[in-house]
Amino acid sequence: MARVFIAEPFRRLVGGGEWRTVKGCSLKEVLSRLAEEYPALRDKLLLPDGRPRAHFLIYLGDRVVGREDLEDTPVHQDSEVKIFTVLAGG
Amino acid sequence: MNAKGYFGKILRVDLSSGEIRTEELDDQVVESFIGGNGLGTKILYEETAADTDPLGPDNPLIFAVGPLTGTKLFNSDRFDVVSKSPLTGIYAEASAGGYWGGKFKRCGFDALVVTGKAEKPVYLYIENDKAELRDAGHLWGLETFQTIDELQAEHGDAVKAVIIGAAGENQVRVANLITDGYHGRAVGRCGFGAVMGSKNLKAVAVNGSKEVPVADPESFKALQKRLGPIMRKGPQALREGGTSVGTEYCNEIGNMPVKNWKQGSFAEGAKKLTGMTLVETLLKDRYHCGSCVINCGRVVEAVDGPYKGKLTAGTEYETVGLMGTNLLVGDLPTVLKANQLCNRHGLDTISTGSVIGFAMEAWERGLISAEDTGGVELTWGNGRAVLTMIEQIAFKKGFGAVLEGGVKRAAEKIGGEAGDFALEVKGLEPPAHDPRAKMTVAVGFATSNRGACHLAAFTHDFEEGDSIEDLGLPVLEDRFSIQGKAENVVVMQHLMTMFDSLVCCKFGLFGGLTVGPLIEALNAVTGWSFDRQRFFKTGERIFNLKRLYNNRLGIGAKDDVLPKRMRYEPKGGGTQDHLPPLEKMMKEYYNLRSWNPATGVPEKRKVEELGLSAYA
Repeated sequence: MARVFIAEPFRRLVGGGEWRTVKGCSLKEVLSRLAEEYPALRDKLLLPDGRPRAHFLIYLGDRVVGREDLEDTPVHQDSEVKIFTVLAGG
Repeated sequence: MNAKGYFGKILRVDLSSGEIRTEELDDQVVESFIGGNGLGTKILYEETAADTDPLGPDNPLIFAVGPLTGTKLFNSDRFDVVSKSPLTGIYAEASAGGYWGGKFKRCGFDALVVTGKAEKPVYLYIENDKAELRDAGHLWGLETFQTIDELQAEHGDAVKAVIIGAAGENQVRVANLITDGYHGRAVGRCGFGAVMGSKNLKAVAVNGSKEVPVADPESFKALQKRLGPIMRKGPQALREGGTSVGTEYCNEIGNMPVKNWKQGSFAEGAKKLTGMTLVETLLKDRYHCGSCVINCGRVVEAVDGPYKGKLTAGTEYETVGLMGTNLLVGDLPTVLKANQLCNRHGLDTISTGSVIGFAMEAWERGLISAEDTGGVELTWGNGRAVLTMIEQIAFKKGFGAVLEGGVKRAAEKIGGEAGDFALEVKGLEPPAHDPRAKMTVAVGFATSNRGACHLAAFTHDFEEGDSIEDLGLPVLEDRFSIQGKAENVVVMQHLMTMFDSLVCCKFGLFGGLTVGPLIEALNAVTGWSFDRQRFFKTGERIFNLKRLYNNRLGIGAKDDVLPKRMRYEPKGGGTQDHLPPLEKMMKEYYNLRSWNPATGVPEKRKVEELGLSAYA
């Protein structure tokens, strides 16, 4: 279980609001659950094979977690996960 | 002048006669053309002819700020430069951040127009109302970093300067202007460095301390207060990883240039070059321009060469694209060196990387050999060759003399099939965004007034669900669909023209500086009462004036095209072999603009509606 901060551009896809509470033991699970609960967000978050897209920076607390480390990164009840979109270039 | 936000003065410098004078700016002009890019375009149109030589004394080099510059509004310490391009032969515009714009404005001027040619190298020194030409004999030949050191030793650390390096001095057509010294903010595109070099003008150093008048300080403060938290929180990824934070994403969707735009993906390279790799390895600090809190700039330590140990600018996304993945150079320290070398000599990393990529393909195809390049092996991924070519381009030495004029000229020199893989639009090499990956980019590249440009429409960040809340258009979800794309580009071109005329950084969009707040800021500063319609109409007026300038040079619908490779060659990867149906989108684009689809010239009624009859 974690509190997930949804970045501004995608709030409309989760029905508005900054935060969502999402189940999951690892960051990867949290993202997968988020995609399941909000299908409109799925294509934005995940590639067709289920891997996370590079369109985001994922923070656990104040730390950025690389995409390859999402599976091995545990989340706890009080964890705060933040998802920010990255630029498509400068 | 009644409007606040302006000092009401243009500084005019004739380098041939040495005359320096000021000219009054009137309300009607700024209400119609705002400042920055708009004011610069008006002056360029009125003071040049179709046959003006871009490197001749009659071509004006126009530096212009806007009503918001120097007010401390977030993201507003920028300046815009306008001239006729020696690279493309058409309309030229570029802007830069740093601190020069604010310092110049606070000298008490809204624009600087430089004409003529000095007999010997000079620099212009402006301190508040006082402007004077000074001998630059001791600066000529120095790199940009050395030049700012010398200028600050002479005038104090508070002085900021726009400087040319060897490339500008040698009138290299891909030369740029560098400001903020080691931090290397660049007026990058179109070859402004060559224009400045042709005038024997080494630098424009400024130190202003005047207060910019604001009509309604209370409303202005309230807006700043409201924007503050959004600005500090919104562009989080940009602050964290810099402009290259999305490099892997761009590779994933096929947006990156790889192997002269031929290959669909270079995942390994993108991972090594992305902004987060820089953060984890070599980043020493973050940098922000004047009045900005985003901190998207990168600071790294030079690891070797004459500036070893000094803190210099890190890589931006466009440099990672054109100097990195485009050349199959997946080594971050090498791309950092290439970036630093370009900044030291004053070269545009986009055009320089592009022309080296073009040369590498010419080498691969056997059109050039070691005999032509003086033994330099222009093979893909050869970082050492890239660094050598940058030096040669800056000094027009060796094979650099073939490449210094950009891709189009190099293809003409090499001949044969070279034109088939020379990627440019209206003579300008594309930045690191692929029209095969995003359809708005296709229309944007084809119709930007300076040639292939991602900033004139700035749609590339808003085509996968990200949106500008108060733009008033549907959110674009499908990057391959053409539905609504032409309209999106038209509206964004007007908005971006306003950004460049006010003059503000477009990254402010990620921190809440969107349409509504921009209009609020403009009204609070000037005392005007612009509404949304008038705001966009003004952007449209300026955009069309640029077009009319180009029309006068013979540019029209025949030139609103994409490079053959981007239009007809599938490249796989994240583009999924998609090709942009440009003609369909252009038909819609011309219709929306009321431009004649056969000629690409604005129709008479449109010209009249925009108050531009005097320019048609």
